[in-house]
Amino acid sequence: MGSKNTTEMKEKKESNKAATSTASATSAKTQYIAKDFQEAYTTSMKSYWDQIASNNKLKLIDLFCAFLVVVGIIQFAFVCLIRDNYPFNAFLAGFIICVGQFVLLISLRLQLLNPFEGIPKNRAFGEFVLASLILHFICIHFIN
Amino acid sequence: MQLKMNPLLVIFISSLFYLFQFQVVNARSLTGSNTLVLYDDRLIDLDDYSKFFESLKDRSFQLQFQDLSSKQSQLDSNWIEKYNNLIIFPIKGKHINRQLSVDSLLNFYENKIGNILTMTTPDGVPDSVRLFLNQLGIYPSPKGQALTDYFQASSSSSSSSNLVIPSSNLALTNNYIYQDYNEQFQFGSRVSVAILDNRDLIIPVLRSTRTSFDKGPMKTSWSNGSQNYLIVSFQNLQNNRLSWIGSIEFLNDSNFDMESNESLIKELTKWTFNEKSIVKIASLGHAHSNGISYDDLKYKVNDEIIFNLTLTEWDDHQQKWTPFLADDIQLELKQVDPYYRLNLKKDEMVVFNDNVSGQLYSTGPFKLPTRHGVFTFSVEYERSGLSFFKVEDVKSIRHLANDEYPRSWEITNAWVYLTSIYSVIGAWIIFIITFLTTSSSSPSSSSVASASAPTVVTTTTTTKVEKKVTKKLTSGSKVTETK
Repeated sequence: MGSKNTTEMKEKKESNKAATSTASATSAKTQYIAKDFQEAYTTSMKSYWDQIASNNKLKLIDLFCAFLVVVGIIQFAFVCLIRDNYPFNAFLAGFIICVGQFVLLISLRLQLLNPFEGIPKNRAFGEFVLASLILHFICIHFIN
Repeated sequence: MQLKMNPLLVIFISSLFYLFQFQVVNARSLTGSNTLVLYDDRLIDLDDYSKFFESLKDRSFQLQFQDLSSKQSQLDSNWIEKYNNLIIFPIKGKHINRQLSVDSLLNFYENKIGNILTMTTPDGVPDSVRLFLNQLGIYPSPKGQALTDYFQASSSSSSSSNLVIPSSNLALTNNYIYQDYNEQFQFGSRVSVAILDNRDLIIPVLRSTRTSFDKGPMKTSWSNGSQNYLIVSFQNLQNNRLSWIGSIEFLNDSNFDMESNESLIKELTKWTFNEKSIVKIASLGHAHSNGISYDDLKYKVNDEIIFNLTLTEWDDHQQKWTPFLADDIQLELKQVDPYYRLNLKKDEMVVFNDNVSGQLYSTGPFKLPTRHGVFTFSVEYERSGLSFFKVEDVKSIRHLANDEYPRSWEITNAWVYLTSIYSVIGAWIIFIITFLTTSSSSPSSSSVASASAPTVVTTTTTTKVEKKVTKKLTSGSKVTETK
């Protein structure tokens, strides 16, 4: 908080100085926004790294999520590349398993971080496994 | 060759054969030879036309003559049923309009097997015949209007005004009616003309000369030049034929001796009374390209099939059915619109018996469209001068059953999606195993936490609390740093 205050003070001073010329004022404004964004980004990244550094399970979930995103992008790129969605059910099955698995993983992750009331973490994990199995079953049948 | 023959043979066995009427030996007309000749005693003497009638009798026509010159002569009331062909010479007077009404003529021509040969001259244009012709789009010149050509009258010195029409005036576009083109035709002195509607069913045969015009009681000429026609034919959709000639002198004995007149009259009457230019379908069939018939195995989407058609044409010289040859016959495979329009290719000659042989046409193997439903296989061939034929066979094409689609692994494109699905499942299994085996807190961070704040960690081991602790710790350190 202290650091933020100091930076704001600095910005104000700078803006006062720049008030003489409009060009320098706009540049200072963009600079200010960029700096603000930069700061928000670094803090959020930092809090994220801190969050997963302490928890291997979260790391694992995020890794799996990243893998799913990559697989999904590959399939979509394939469809765009050959410009034909001929076995469309197959594409849907392949894409949906990625999206579905991603959603299930995120909900598991949420429950690991702050469990819902009355649902213990083990039960949450069990539900995740069951839902995943149903998803896999449906996707395999859908691709035929 | 062995492979190619096999399916064709099967198709022949399964094809539906069309029945012919082989009363060929007696009568040469394919639709019947009972002919009624209507004439007016006051206008013509039948003896002057003996050669014309003789030529008809030679071709086995049974002629029944009926004079309609007086009111007393009654036309047989059921002539429409009795006769197949009608020859109407010019008739004077109004009583004919009651006896031979427009309606009865239309009924005879449209609903029965009825061919008509009719002549009108400036002296005899019966109203009923004229109105009937008008319905077909043929407009004969009114009573009294006779064709005149001053250019010809000066050149031909022998006869007073015998109109001579060169064969270059023949308006035919094909050989189905007449094919000699190096003669002249004698038309006599009293000639009427007709102007024509713009209809596809009308077949203009002979047009008038460029310098001729219609002269008569009317103040101005009724029509002139080569828009006038002297001989016109017509074939309706029931293949009944009609010919109109603007002169009776064209047929009489003195002119019939002229070789040109004789040949044109003979060919014209042959055509009009269904003795030539008649095409029929001898057999029709279609089957799977491997020879299995539709009855054994219904067609489904994308099946490969063959369509065959055998056509014969009546040859009036040989007096038998001969193969009909053409390059422009098409099969239409249509539901509402044609999905395919395929050219039928000549395949081989087929001999059914001594009198009948036909030309086999085949589409060759072709794939049915990717569309299920009730389809019509239709062949329609309508050429001016040739008898029309049209066949339709309605068959259903079914869609694929649910186990007839290719499986995913048979489609190479789907391999990408298959591998991604199984890689996700594999990754999921690995994830489950590692998830269960790893502890929730990483060893490095927990050791740091225990080292920095051992008193707090001992009481609560949940990650939530740990996180809070680390957060506190980090924020604390930040504050200290800034200070």
